Order: sequence, then structure tokens, then C-alpha cells
Amino acid sequence: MTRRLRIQDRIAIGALRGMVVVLLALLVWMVVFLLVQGWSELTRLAFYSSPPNIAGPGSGVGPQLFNTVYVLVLSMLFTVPLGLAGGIYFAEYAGTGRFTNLLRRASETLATLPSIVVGLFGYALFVQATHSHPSRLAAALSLTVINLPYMVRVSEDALRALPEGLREGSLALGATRSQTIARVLLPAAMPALITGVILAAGRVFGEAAAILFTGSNFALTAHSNYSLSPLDSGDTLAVDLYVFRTQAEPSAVPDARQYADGVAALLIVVVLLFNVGARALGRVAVRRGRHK
Amino acid sequence: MIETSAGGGPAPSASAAPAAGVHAIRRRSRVLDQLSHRAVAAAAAANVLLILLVVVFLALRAAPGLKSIGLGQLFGSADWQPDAGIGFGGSSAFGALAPILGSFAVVLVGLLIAVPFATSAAVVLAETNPRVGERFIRPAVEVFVGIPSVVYGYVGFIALLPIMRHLAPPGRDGSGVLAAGIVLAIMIIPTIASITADGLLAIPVALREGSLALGATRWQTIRRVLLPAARPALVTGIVLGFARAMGEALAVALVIGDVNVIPNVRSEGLRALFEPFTTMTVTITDGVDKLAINPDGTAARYMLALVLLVVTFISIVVVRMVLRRAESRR
Repeated sequence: MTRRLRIQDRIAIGALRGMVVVLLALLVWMVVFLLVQGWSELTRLAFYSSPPNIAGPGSGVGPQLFNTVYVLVLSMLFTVPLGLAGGIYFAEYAGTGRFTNLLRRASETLATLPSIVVGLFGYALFVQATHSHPSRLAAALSLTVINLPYMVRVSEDALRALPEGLREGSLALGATRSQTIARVLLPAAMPALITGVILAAGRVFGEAAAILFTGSNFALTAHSNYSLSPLDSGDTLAVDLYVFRTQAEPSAVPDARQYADGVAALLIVVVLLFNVGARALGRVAVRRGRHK
Repeated sequence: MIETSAGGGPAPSASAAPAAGVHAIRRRSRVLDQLSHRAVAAAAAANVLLILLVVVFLALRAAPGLKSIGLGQLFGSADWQPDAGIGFGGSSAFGALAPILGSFAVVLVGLLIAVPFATSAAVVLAETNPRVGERFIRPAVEVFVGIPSVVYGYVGFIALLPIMRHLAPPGRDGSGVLAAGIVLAIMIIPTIASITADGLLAIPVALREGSLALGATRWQTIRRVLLPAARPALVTGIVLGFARAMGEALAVALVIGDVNVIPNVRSEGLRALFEPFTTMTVTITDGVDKLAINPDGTAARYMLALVLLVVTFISIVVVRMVLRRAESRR
């Protein structure tokens, strides 16, 4: 009886571990596979500077890369102050009443909204209602809708993680609540906040569905556009990976596959860099905290 | 004090001035304090405003479809020809039964694959190998939450579809419900795993030790004590994974084949998993280049977006209910 149980225990736990090993192997394989596939493009300098080219070889992601960074920065300009303010409210002011509850539920719902629904919403509000066309601004605003709840949560967590003594000490010295937040709490929470901003930026980098509806111009060619106008449209890297499948017939475009491999590998590299960067910052912050 | 009296005349006014200054500063900082309180409250309230705007604008754009298409056709027919009516004198049809069934089919397949893997990962992370878990599994989970969904779809397209082609009945290209389910599963495993692991870690140590002290094996403890105790977390993870899978568009679009015909499950059985199919999100994505020129088709897509919105609302409510019940039991 006990022996049977012991064997059962071994087999069951072995199976659990086996599944996890399979899972991790699959994930690692995925990253390595994408990097290997896209390596020739990643290491080709012209890949980063030349425009996409449907007619022949030598495609690059220059304009897409520029556009992606443009939309990312623009959207973070909206997301960071608004999300930080929301996080400050939840961490420092909010009570436990119904109003706070409503705000929290709204934030959760916003965080769960499918990005394609946000895309249609963004098209209706930022494009149609303003009688304009898909643009970087419309894309950035839609991305703000997607990222705002994330930024709020990150900011709230960063402030809540601070020791209570910091708050009480500042208030005891006669500082007002807003002075305490601005001069004591925010500086102390800065490393965690920067980590959060980096992770939020990483999410923007890979978002595609919402931009497809609000900022894309559906053309792999024809926009070697480095203009600075927020009202211009343009594809981002992640959008291109989808457009590759639908618009460029692999037979008609000899190096479309190579191009897409390069884009996928670049996205992976950037996401890994963002993640490692955010982690490293978090560790530095923890170490500094211990010193004090 | 001595200096002011030595200076004579202006002493009283000099001592009054700083006092007034302090008052002014106090008043100003109090006003600033209240202003900043209102400002951050307004920022938090922006969440509610945004939700309302989303509901209003989706409803506004879907409304024309109520009259020209009708709920009966949208939910009762599988005849979907959104573009037949524009320019060619034909008539369009907007039966969305196929994408609606398709969404639930791919998400069901995705969950069936994801839940065992995610639960295993959570148990290994929280229980059997916590050190390895914190060193490798948790960082891996975090990285894979961050990988763009369209990249998952792309890997599915270039690596998974060729494999599926070998498994599929002859004449099929490998795309379909199974391929989409696998891609979705890989995407939502990290979500479910991390929430479940947190639930397991929050279980009081006494529960585990009590079970082991009574002579239960580790596996018995995991199955009979720990997993039941962490069930609210597991359910929360599954519902959030469900919502995420339901709303995923581009990753699914890359591997499902996008054919608006319901596979005949009765005659095909499990082979139907290899039939190209479609989902609500894929059908919405399809219309992106005709948003401005096909008003009826666009209205139909906004109606599908409302369906997705309702699914999101229901998911949030279910999560709330599960968590509240778990709290009240404690």
C-alpha cells in the first residue's frame, strides 16, 4: 500500500516536472529559432536603415523602426503622467468606498479589453469622429488606452511598496500630503517606477492589432517616411509581421520571408533587452535600498 | 529680539511680516494640496470615462447594423458575405455564427492544452522545486508574457503549420482550430501559471505540513489539499486566460486559415480540428481595409466588437465573484 503510494508519488511529480521541462524547452527553442532565422538580417547594417522593398532584395525596416519608436514615445508621453497620477490616487488617497471600488473595476476592465476592440474604438473616436485618417497620434492615443491600466497598477505598487515610516516622517515634519508625495515618495519609488515604464514601453513595442486600425497605412512600400508630423500614418514593426502574411504573397515577393524573419527576430531582441534592462534596474534599486 | 529693539521703529511690522508670509505659504500649500488631490482623482476617474467612451462609441457605430442587418441574422445565420453588396450589385449577408462558434472553439482547445501545462508549472514553481522555479520558471514566464502576440502567431505560421500539414488529412494546409488553439495555449500558459503559483504560495504552511504529518505523500498533498485550496487563483487565471485568448486577433489570424464556413463536426469528427475556420477577432481584422467603404460590414464588425466587450465584462464579474467567495470563506 505505502509502496504503491510512493511509486504513484514519484510518477506524478516526475510527470509534473517533465511537463515543465517540455514547456521551458519549447519557449527557449522559440527564441533561439527566431534569432537563428533572423540572424542574417539582424547582422546586416542596411536592414536598419533602408526602406522595405517589395520589388527586389535588400529590404529594411528603417521607416518602420522610426515609426515604432515615434509612436512609442508619443504614447508614453500620455501614458506616464496619466498613469502615474492614477497610481498616486489609488496608493495615497483612495479609501475603501464604493467610488474607489468603481474606479478599480473600471481599471481592471480596461486592462482586460481586447486590443482589437480598442482598435475599433480608436478608429471610431480618434479617426472617424475627428474626420481625419489613421495617424501616429491616433495610434498613440489608442495605445494609451491599452497601457493606462498597466501604468496605474505599476505606479500604485511602487508607492505601496515604500515603508510607512517614510510617509509618516514627512508628514510629522509638517509637509503636506502633496509635498510628501512629490518630494519624498516619488523620488524613493523612482527605480520601481522606471522599471514599470520600461515594461510598459515594451508592451507598446509589440502591440499590433490596435495600430492596424488607427495608425497603419497598409503598405509595405511607399513610405520611406521619416517626417516628424504626428498626423502622418505608418506601419510599426509588429504590424508588418501581420501584413507580411496577408498582403505580400510569398511567391510575388522573393525576400518577404527573409524580411519577416528579420522583423520577428528584432522584436524578440528588443523585448528581451527591455526585460533585462528593467530587471537590472530593479536589482540595483534593491541593492541601494539595503545600503540605507 | 535684541536687534529689532535696537533698530527701533520698524520692529512690530518686521515681526508681523514673516508671520503673514508663513500664513500665505501655508495657505498656498493647502490649496496646492487640494488641487493635486483633485488632479490625481480625476486621472483615476479617467478609467471610468474611458470605459464609458468605449461602450458609447462601439454602440454608436454598431447601431446602424441593428436596422440594416438585425440581431436575428447576425446571431442566427452562418452566411457571411460582407462585401458582396458593394459595387457589384449583389447582396451582402452578415450571419456571424461561424466566427462566434470559432472563437469559442479555439479558446476551448487552447484552454484544454494550456491548463495542464500551466498548473504543472505553478506546482513545480511553488511546491516541488521552488529554487529552480524562482531562478528559471518565473523569469521565463515574465519574458514570455512580454513577447508580442503577433510574434507567437508568426512562429505558428512558419514552424507550427508545416508540422500540422503532416498531421492533417490530405489536401489541408495545416491551418485551423487546432493550430490556433496551440498558439493561444502557449500565449496564455504564462498568465494562468503565474496567477496559480501566487495562489499556491499564499496557502498557509500549516495546511501543507498538516497533510504531510498525517502521512500523505507529496502528490496526495498537492492534489487533495493544495490545489483545492488554490482553486480560486486557478479559476481566476483560467478566466483571465480565457479573456485574453478570446480577444487575441493577429496571432490567431496567422494560423487559422480564415474561412467563414463551419466545419461539419458530425461527418468529420476530430478531423474538423484541421479545417480552416475563423473567429470574431479574425473577422473584425479582415475588414480593416474596408472600414470606410463598406458601412454595413463595418457595423457588423462593431456588433462583434460589442460581443467581445460583453465577454470581457462577464469575465471580470466572474473573477470578482470567485475572489469574493474565496475571501468570505476565510
